[in-house]
Amino acid sequence: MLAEILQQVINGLIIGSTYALAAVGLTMIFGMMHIVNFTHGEFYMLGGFFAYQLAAFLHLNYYLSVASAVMAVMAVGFVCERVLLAPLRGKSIDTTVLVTIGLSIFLQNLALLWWGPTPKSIPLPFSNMPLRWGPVVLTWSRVLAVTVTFALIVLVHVLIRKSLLGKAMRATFQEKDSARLAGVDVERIYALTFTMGSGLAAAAGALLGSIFLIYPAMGNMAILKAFIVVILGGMGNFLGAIFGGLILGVTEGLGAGFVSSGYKDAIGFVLVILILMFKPSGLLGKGRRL
Amino acid sequence: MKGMIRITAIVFSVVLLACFSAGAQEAIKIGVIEPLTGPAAYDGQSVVEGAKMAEEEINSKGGVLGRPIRLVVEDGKADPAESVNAAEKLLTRDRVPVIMGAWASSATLAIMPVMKKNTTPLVVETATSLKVTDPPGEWVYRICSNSAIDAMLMEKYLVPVLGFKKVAFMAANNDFGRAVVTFWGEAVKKKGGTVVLNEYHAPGEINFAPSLTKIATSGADSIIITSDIQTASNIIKQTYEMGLAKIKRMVTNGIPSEAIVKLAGAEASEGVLVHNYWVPFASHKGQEAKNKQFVDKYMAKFPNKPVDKYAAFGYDGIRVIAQAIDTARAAEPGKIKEALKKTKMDGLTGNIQFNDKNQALPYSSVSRIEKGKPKLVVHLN
Amino acid sequence: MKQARMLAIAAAVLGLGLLPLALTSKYLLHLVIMAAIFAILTMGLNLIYGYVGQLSLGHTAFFGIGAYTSALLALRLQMGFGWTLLSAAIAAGAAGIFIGHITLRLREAYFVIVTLSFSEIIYLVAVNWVDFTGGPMGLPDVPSPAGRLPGIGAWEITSKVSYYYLVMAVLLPLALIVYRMVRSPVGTAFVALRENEDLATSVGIGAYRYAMIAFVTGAIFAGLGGSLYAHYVGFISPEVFTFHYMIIMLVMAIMGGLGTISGPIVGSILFTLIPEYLRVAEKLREPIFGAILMVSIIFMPQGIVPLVGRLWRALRRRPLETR
Repeated sequence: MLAEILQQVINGLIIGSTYALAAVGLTMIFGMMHIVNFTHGEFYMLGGFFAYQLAAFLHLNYYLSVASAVMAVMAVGFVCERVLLAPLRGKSIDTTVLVTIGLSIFLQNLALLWWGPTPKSIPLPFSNMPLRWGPVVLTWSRVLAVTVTFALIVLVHVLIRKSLLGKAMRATFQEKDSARLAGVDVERIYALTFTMGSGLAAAAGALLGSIFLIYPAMGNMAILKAFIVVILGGMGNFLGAIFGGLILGVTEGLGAGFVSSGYKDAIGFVLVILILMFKPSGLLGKGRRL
Repeated sequence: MKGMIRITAIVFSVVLLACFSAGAQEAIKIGVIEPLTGPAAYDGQSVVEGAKMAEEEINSKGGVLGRPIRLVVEDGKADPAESVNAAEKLLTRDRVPVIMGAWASSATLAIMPVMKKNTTPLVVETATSLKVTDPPGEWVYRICSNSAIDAMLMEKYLVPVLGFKKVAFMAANNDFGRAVVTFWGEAVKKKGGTVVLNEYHAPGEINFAPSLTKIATSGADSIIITSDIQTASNIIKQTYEMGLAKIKRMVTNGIPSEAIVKLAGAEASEGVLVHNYWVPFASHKGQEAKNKQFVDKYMAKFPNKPVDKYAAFGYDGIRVIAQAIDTARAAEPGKIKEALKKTKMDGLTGNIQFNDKNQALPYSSVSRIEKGKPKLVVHLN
Repeated sequence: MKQARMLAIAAAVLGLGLLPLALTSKYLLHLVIMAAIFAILTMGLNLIYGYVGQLSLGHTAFFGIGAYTSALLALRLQMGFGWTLLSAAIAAGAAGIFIGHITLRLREAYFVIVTLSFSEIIYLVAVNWVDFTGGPMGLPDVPSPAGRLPGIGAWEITSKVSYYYLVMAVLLPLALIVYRMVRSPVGTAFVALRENEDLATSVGIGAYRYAMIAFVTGAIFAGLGGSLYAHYVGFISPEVFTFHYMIIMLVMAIMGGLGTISGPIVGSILFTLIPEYLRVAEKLREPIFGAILMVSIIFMPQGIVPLVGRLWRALRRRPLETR
């Protein structure tokens, strides 16, 4: 019994970090910019597909493929921001919702047309053999995913909290007009933030795609988990995203393991409702209150 | 001399005219509703590909009743409302006399009342829900299997031969997955086995660690997996990654082995059993030539896709329909329905004949993946 | 002026009344019926989203609850249509009160996510509680609307034409209700909350109270739509709770014109017809649809009805200016 609980918890932590990874980009765009970005799943998906294309067809090294894929998606994100979001800036939240929905339908189906519905896998530079560590079983790809998650999140957190750019970003999203008065190029910040957010989504997609397979609809599950993690962790709170992801992963694991697997996905949503009823600023309490 | 030339010319032009008008006759439309987009796009498109191959073949041999057939394909998205829209369009705008579809059980069940209201027959090529033929509808004819039949055929093998004595089911939380769990579970219990766990997952699920951990500690000696191609491959992959490859694993309902090997990796797929319907490598007696021909044609047309049962059922579905139209001597729904009842066709997917529930009995078999390649274990019928 | 208006309305009603007889294609009539059902759903969404300004992604919950309530009562208890319709409205309304109570205290982005969460949870219940809801196998053979009326005896609606009139008989009164509501102080309160919530509350407009009115009314509308849908299609499965339908309603509401009365209706018609017309594009259908959405929202961020309204007014103003 104890061994089973331990295994579920550890698996939960591992999958939880993948949730956190999938959520970082959304924390930036949804958490900071308050754009309900339905395209997050598609940037995630494109990260996976671009990495696949580069690795499988150009035979690029795995890490290089991932990095290049991120760059490519950032370019896509930049274009989307400038062409679709910037013109709608002044209008209310509805229009960004609809435009990101439209973009999401467009991109997902374009990917379906281009790459076809056959799922793909990316050849990894290391074996997938199970590694035993006492009662725990792991693979290198998961270790990589966890490491990258933590590294990326900490990096972004430091960027936002300590750097000048981060300050400018926070200023823009809290008080746009005052920031402008203080000399911040608000338009540039918007473009930059969205671009970075899409790049982070792509990084998650490329890494997780190598673990969980790549197919046009892969973003659908990712975006739901990401929204939950952002709420749990607190909007705009990057370190919170780690906790949000881990909590989600562990509760799902224990819930599915000991209660019912059919309702597993409901756990995250129940958590969201509870958090928003009792602690809307997120688990760590440092998220922005709206 | 001049007279002869004139007569020849007239005869020649009459013959030419006759040929032309026969070919220029209006095509017979056949409606097809499949998911062309959405999560089931892979399978839906395979069905359409098989169907189109049949269309080409039939038309190259002169069509049916001297007329070419023309498939009118609509995207049902495997969604009930979309498929109903598609059916309404096909029936009232295109006026098709017969439809094949709609892939998913829920979508198929949703269009059945529409077919009935329009007194037009439906040929079901993928949906496995029992409710499609139980209670039997006079307008619905199923050429693919259903889980009750599969379980009945597997009964002699699951426990006694394959040794699946303590079974854990991992099934997609949809009608298809649940049907397998219900019927195969009974088949296991009937032969003295036990069902240790029923683990359901959402169709897009990627994380199976909680379920697999449960299974690992439950004492199960076998896992039966029912899901779509990427999810099933993910499960296989994760059983391996969690060190559970020693447990016997079986994938149901004909997921192509090549796809599993490609997606999960050869090491992870070693020893996995696959329950198949039509498969290219497991031809029944006398079927080898026909299967090879189909496979070669398919590979020539679609080089990057493994040929699978969806294509085979799509192919057979159209051929059954064409034969029924031919027997009926008319492209008229009521007559086609009567002709369908009497279908007797040596198809790719089986000897197609409809029983009193309008259900056919397709071939099925079990194979094992060894060193990345599928190897036939046994024909089930 | 009033006379012209009354005439226009009378003409419209007459047109609607004669429509099914004018349409020769059953397929088009089918689409009109679906559009009308979605119009009811979208009008409900418009109340909370268009007028009060809160984006609810949980609207499908009420649609599905209405559909399942009607289907279950008709199948298990053989209830007549009048009762199943009423029960659907009550069930959806009750759910609206429950969910609204929990969620309406939250703002903007939080409200969006929490309403989505409710929808997803209810979906999972519908999928997993197989004994009650039929699970993923769904509920087939939901009977057409039928019942017993004192004096008339048993009646049943089977043809598309009669279904059309039935749906209109629900849609038009609901549209009237929206019209009256919007023109009343309640409607003014809605708009006040949407435009500037703090200001509105400072003059005594209770944000929670009015949002609740909009939310529950919207839920009831969705429940009614769900009932009509269940009896029309004859088959209900958990898909009705999925985000796919939420997107459809959202597109219809926004593109039609949020915060307008005819917006949802126009949006429903357009976005029932457009995807169907796009069938000719086959595989390109979906990307084209996505592209249409994006382009439309950029050039018509207010939606179609306000745009048409502006054009109309601009045209009418011209003669005066040239004088």
